[in-house]
Amino acid sequence: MNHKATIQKVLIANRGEIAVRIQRACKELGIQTVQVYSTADTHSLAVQMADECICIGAAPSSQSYLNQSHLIEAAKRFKVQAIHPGYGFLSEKADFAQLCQDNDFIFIGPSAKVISQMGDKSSAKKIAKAAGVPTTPGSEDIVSSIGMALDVSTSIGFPVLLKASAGGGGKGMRVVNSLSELERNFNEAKREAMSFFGDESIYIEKYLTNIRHIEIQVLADREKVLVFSERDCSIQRRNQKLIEESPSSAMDPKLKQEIAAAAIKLCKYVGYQNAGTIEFILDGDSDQFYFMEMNTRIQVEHPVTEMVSAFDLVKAQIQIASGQVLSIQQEDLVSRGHAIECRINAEDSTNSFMPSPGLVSAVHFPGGAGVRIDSHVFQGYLVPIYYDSLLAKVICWGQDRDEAIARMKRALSELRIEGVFTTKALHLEILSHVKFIQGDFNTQFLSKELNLN
Amino acid sequence: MTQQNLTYDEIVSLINAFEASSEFNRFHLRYLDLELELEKKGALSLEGSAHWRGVNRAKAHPEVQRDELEPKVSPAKSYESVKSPVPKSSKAMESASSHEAEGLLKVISPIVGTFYASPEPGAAAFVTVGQRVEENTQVCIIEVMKLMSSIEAGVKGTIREVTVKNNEPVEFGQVLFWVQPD
Repeated sequence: MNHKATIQKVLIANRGEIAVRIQRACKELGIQTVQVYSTADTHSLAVQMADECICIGAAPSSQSYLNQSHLIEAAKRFKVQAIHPGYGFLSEKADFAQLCQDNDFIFIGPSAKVISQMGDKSSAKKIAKAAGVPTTPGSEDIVSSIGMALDVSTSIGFPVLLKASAGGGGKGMRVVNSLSELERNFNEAKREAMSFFGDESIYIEKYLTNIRHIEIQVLADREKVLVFSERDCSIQRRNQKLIEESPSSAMDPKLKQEIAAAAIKLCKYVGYQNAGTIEFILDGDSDQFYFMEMNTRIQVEHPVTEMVSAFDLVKAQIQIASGQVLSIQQEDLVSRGHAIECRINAEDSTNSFMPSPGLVSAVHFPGGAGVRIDSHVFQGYLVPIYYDSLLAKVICWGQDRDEAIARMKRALSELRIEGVFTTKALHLEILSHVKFIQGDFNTQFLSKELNLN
Repeated sequence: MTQQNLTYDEIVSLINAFEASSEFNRFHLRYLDLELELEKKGALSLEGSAHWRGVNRAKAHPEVQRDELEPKVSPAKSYESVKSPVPKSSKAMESASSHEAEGLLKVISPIVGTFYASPEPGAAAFVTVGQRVEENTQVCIIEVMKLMSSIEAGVKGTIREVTVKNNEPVEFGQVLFWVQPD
């Protein structure tokens, strides 16, 4: 996109709170909104707020929010100039970004080429390495013999992780603590990989346990790459983030500078444009950080960054997509105070986080200084069974981390969502935990400290 | 004077009257131990916001667009939830009571969600009519809000009937299978 285009109307190819969030940005920019919806979302807040709306299919997302041709058809009918994919659904599908472009619609996000480069985990890791960004130490490629396994493991040091190259989501992994256990585990892992995945390829990586999940928000137009202060998303359950904050309590200024420089380097290397997030793991034992993956879209937790930087990322996404060069410079971006986000999900945290769809019979959202609510929920809203369980994001800002925590506890004590189970009580428990308050935690906090798996 | 519950026919005529009316989008009735809630799809559910209602009406013919894009769906006049004791369909009720009389066991859905008969699209179903199941035999998957739960039979016997179709939404407590005990 090298020419300037005027965006007067945007089609929002998403639902829930992020659809509402994008509409808010559009309204402030004087842009008309077209909201697509499935038959399960007929009554949704996003539909009610939009200037125009159109039903694109049945409730299952494969028949509506993931149906590329219906979306393009809707975009043509309403004569929009651009499509905002939000997060999830089609936001990181390179072929959808390409389809938008082929039909002369601006896809609000990076190019299809960059999405496909960074979307695949192993290709992204190779690119990061080539760009000079540290990646988790381990074998470059498949480890085929025990001799190779010995060489790699001794050079990176135990414990190591044997990973089936065809595995994923925690499956097909083995931790090896010492040299004497290596040979037996290596052979077993290969056999296991063969029988589970039909592919015996094994990678070896350094096994890190004391890690924080640190991510860097970037925003790039065609002239520059801006980086924002880091977000710490270490409070997770099964790789699902529950609490995010900025800045991280685990990083000194030198480390912050290094990680920001790495993020800029990677963005410039791939020619990134628009908003994105680079996820790193920070090893608490060595203070080394390693590239994990890049999310080529706006993220759920973007308000944390917006609160500390007083900057609207979604508006900037639209401006960049229309070919504008942002007037703001890196030196204008100052991180002030501390922000925390709690994700309030329709889940029963006392019963293995079982999703809890249903009718929301009463809602009261907190207010007051430093409190922001991003939500699509209202009294009488029926939480559908078809989509994710996020009900509301409560984001609190404070002069420092202590004030942000105190404010969040105050805000959550005011929050009422009735008719469905929510994760509110769990958040209050975490916020009151001494290790959380001290900033002394890693990604295993929920399982180790609260016994939640 | 003794008060009597509404008959099935009376309830059906209420529903018909509601469907035919252009005045009302929602109908709620509580009478003795009966509770009936009717809602038309397309109805606005944000209470007390005249402003948003206005905006919605001004939209560019959403009904027309919807029909063109998705001809199979015509949600404008269907009711969304009918609470017990109004039967969903009298046929289902009859077969349920006769199955129970026959001594068949039911496998019910422990959660609300979408029913999947097989582990992945196109694959063979977990169980079919005539198949033997043990308590721990997986009979289906129920997906709710992206969480897949595998459902076990919980009873021993032979599958006599599968009452739900693949991909169909199911409710908490709904019968999924009838099983002939050993």
